[in-house]
Amino acid sequence: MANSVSTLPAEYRRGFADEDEVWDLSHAITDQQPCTFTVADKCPQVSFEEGEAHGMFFVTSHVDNLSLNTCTHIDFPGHLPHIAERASHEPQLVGSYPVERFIGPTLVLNVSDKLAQIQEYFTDEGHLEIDPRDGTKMLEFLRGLDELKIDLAELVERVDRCGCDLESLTGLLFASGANLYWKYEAFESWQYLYFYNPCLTREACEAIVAAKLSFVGIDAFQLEHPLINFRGDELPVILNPDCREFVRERLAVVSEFANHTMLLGNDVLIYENLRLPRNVRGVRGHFSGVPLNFQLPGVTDNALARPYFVVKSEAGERPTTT
Amino acid sequence: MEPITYSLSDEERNALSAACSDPRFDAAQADDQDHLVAIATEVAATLDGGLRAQVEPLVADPATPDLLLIHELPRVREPKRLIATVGSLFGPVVKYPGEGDYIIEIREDLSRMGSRPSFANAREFFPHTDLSYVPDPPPFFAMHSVVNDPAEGGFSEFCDVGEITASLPKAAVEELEQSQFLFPAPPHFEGATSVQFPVLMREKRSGRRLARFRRDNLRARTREGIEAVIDFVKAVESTMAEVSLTANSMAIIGNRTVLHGRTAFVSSEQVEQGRHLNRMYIGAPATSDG
Repeated sequence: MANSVSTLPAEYRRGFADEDEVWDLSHAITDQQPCTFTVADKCPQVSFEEGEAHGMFFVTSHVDNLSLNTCTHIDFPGHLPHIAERASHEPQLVGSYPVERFIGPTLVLNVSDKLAQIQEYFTDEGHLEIDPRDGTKMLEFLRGLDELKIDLAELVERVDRCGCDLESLTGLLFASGANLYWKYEAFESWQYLYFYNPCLTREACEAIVAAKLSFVGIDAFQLEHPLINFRGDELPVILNPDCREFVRERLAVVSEFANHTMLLGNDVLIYENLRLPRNVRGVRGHFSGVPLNFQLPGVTDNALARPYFVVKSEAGERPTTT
Repeated sequence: MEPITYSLSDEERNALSAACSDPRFDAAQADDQDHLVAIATEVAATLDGGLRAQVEPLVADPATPDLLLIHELPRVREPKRLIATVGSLFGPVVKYPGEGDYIIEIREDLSRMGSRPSFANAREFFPHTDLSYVPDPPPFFAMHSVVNDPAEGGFSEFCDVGEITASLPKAAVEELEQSQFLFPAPPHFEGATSVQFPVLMREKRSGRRLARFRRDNLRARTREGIEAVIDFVKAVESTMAEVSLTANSMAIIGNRTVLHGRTAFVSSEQVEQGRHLNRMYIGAPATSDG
């Protein structure tokens, strides 16, 4: 939830002005399946043990089955398979990244108009409304997913409209509006609006890399062309050969310049499953999303985080929301 | 992969139909599969002809792909009799503790949907081997297509473990041969939530490549291990053959030498007759060389 600092008790307001805003950008980790399409069991399991002090008694909880890419988390270069063979250096353990990589001036870019372009195919609750047997409409929908792309010109124009430029930022977050559909539930990958999200063209990715942004993020399942929600054996494509052929052909193209590959491959980290309220759209503020200091062998892929966003009340921090 | 196909002649079909009407079957109670299987084994022993000739190459020759598609089966009143009779030609019919009866119906059961793909729901099911969590999975199984309209989806997918392995980098094969992979086990299996095995092995006698694999919930102890799994999955996708197992056909499948899967299919709620296959496990068959 967002808090205006003025609602907090005085002892928690030290260092903040009353008008400062502090926004928690994370989804809670509960014992329920996070919003996902995987069939894997992602429900954390809690057990309790007695603390091992000698003079006092304590209770300590253990959490098993806690995936590091559940709920709000960060993708690191090691999230890509065989990255060590492709990158110029070995991927780093997630805890070995300096904390400065996760802190700094960040713009929340409003791209919610993108999702609005495919809203007509979904119910108000976010379920795909197309009859799987309606190949014509399904193909129209699949083709329309390209409208979710943000190209370089559009990226620059939107950032510029917020009074910013990429080179002045540490991070860039994309507010798609998909987080309205976050639920603690598993769905079919192709059936639920939360898994459809804006994505970047190759040139837009290259501009982000060239500007040396430390991270990007999105309030959706991922920053990737949503066609990757299909493998080719899902019900709507199985029943419609034209759709199946379209998916197979387009997947080859989409995969070649996948956002994950282009960004993570150049050490631009990606926050996923953020919670970005309307009030922060178009706002530049101070972001912090430091992961835990996990330096376990091989853990180079993901990390849980509880990012927050501070909007200071001084002039210049809060541009007109766009 | 190229499966072996065999179409029954009119004579064989009639003989099989007659075998399934053998009065001995009437003595078995409807839900007594022990009795049904015993009778089917006796009845199968009397069958002759081309179908019996398919047995030896399938079960004994490592060079033959372990996938036989039998077409032109008779439509019989009791499909379980048919699968039990034909299946027992290939080897002893077996079942495993806690895994249900000899013959399991693969059809959507709306009362037991679950989230993982299974025989009881209509989800797509990535190519896998059955009973990946038991120490000694069945070497073969039979799958009889009773109702299966291609217009409703539900295409079967098969890929040969030898072909998959041949396309993998050496390093990936070495990783997959390590006993580092955690296969989730159902609650009824000896109380363990997962068991640890390699994905790839070799058959002792012939040196043939064997696999145990189920993609969903599979974990590896090392990063190199899971990267090898990704390579394996990609190889499965690139070597996979899709087959429409139409009604009145049966597949005899090597459970350790062939991965099998299916695409999604239309829910039985939306069609008059939902997809229905019967499946039966077959144990180590006796061969002419013992």
